Amino acid sequence: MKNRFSIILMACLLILSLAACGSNSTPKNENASSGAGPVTLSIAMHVANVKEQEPYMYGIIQKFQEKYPDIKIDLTGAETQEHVKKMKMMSQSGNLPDIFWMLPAPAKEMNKAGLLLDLTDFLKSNPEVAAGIDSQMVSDYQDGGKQFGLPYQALVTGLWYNKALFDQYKVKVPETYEELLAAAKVFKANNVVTIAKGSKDTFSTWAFLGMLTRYGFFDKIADIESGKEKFNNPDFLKLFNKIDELRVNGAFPENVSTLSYFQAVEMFTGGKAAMLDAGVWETKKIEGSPIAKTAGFSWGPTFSDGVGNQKIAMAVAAAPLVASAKVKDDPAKYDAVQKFFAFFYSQEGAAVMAENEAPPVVKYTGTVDKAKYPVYAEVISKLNEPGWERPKAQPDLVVSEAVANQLNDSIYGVINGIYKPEQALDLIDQKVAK
Amino acid sequence: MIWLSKRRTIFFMLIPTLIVYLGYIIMPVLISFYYSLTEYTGIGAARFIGLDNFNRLLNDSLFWISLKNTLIVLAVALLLLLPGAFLLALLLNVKVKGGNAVKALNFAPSIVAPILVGLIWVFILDPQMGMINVILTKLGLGQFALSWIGGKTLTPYSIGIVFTWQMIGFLATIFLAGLKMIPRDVYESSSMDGASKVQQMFRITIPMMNETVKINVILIITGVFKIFETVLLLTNGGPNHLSEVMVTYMYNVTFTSGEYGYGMAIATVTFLLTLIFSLVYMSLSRKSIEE
Repeated sequence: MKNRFSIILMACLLILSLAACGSNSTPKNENASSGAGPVTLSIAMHVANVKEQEPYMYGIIQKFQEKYPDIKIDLTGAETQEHVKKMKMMSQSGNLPDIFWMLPAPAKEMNKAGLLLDLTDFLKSNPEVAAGIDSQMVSDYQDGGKQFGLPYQALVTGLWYNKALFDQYKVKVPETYEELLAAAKVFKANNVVTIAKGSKDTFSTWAFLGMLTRYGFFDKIADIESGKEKFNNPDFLKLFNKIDELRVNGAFPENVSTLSYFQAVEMFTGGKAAMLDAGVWETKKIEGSPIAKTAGFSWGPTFSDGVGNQKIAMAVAAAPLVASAKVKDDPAKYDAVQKFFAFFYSQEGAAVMAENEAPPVVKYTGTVDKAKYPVYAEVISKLNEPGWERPKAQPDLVVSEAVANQLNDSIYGVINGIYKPEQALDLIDQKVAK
Repeated sequence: MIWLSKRRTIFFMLIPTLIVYLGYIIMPVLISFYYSLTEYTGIGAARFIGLDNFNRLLNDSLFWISLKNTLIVLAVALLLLLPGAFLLALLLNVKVKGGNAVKALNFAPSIVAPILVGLIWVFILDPQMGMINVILTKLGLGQFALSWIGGKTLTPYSIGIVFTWQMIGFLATIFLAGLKMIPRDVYESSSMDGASKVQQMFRITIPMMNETVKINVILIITGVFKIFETVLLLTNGGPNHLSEVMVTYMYNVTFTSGEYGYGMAIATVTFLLTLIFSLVYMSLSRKSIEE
């Protein structure tokens, strides 16, 4: 009797274990209905704390739920690298969230694998959305005849500067490379960091990626990828030599190799650095810092030996907001996704972005209170400054993840003094060849 | 209870554990080995490329740097941690007032999350704001204020020291348990035969601790080959991968560069090296006992 009981018990345990090991075929959102009634949309973002780090997205979601009480949003977030890893794993198990943020290169691959919703019909049925977003930004996320995503936010990057420090040391805010180098020499002599940077976060090379576009990056990249041209070409070498020259003249923090990007931001907002390589996502932080009244934003230096137009403003599509192809299987959910995209790119959505001092993706018709938000007003005025050309994209967003990683690594290699300029460029070529 | 000791019953009772072990240890190892033979970005289908990833490893200077750094950390740990933990255990074995509190304090670094260990040591080792260099500079010894982390050479040695700090209490506790297992009468009879304390140490304590030493060496080897968070916090493998250890390099290749296939090749080699180091050590220590 005991024997039989033990065998039955073991069999039950075994079945339970196997059930635990089996694949999860249950849809993630169990209350996703196929008809009328409440629908839950899952949204996954690239920051750990969406409310704190992407307040405009959080605000848009709150307003959207108020407008559509039958649609509930299950919002999750993880740090960018963790988020991308998670999305890739979820794509393998067929459990992608309904809407999510993704880097352009892996989003393109997901589109090729048929995992993303084609938003062409959405744009056709919402012409006001299509008209409101910059056409270049829309076309950035088209591939194989599909609109696989829409820009989540405008990526606006350059060099923040603290005018008070420039005034204190009687240095002109640089518009050209020569002026930047001259400023670096003065600041170094006075123990002030010229450009706050932290190489522990190798992704933080935005201003230098912008400079790359002033050496003909977009004229060359197709030839580089097809093997007709090299990254180690005379034009790019000129830029890398200049980065090295800035390093030699003490433009970067002495402990740049052990600083993180966030420490670099603190260095700038604490008044210890004259400039910061970052983007407008730091607007709110700078607005709340002691340097708010003297902070300004520039597109970075122009170069007398550069290639083509030097007045290039890095204001491009950052990364797409995409939807899982599976939402189309559920009409109610598909409808909710369309409603969310329509709301996100509406003037209501843009107003939430403006309230949170983020540059709206759509043409925003509202106004900015200059007295209340001087830093944000400065950013908006820079964006509206005439005569500046916008590039196709940020250079690292049009190459594979491996090449983008090497590009950042090579720029920091020169800043850290680890690579010679030629060596840094050769390493990118090696990655392109692979 | 006789029915419990039947072979068939034992087998059935082991099944749940075996399934979990198979699902969470064996299968992931086999799957990562499979992916090491492919070119894979983590999305869509993987393309089988045979041993290409392993060939690429041979010519990848960053892989060799990460291996060299891992071996430096291992050497530092074996030289400092093993004797250090043993000496600490000898001290803790002496009955003194408040001895238990001292034992708890020594064990404390082992229960601190590795990510916090990294954070604590950044404030000690950073060349600009770190405690060591600040003190050296204030004492007028600025010439000794080196780049303990973030420079071109010293980072792996610093990681070895941080690892030693983190593990010493844990290994000392294992040594202490080993010391307590040695029967008192062995020492008493050796004293009666005129053995000195030093002789007791080398003729009784160390030989009888052989199994404990073996466990600790294996723990050091496996611990070193999986160091991750400490490096991530101290330098993130930088500057430019010069302080990368094998796991951080694997992570960088897999998740930052999106080269999953190549990353799994590094993971496979790391796994094999850990296995080889452990097996070689175990076989050598067995041989020395037989001799």
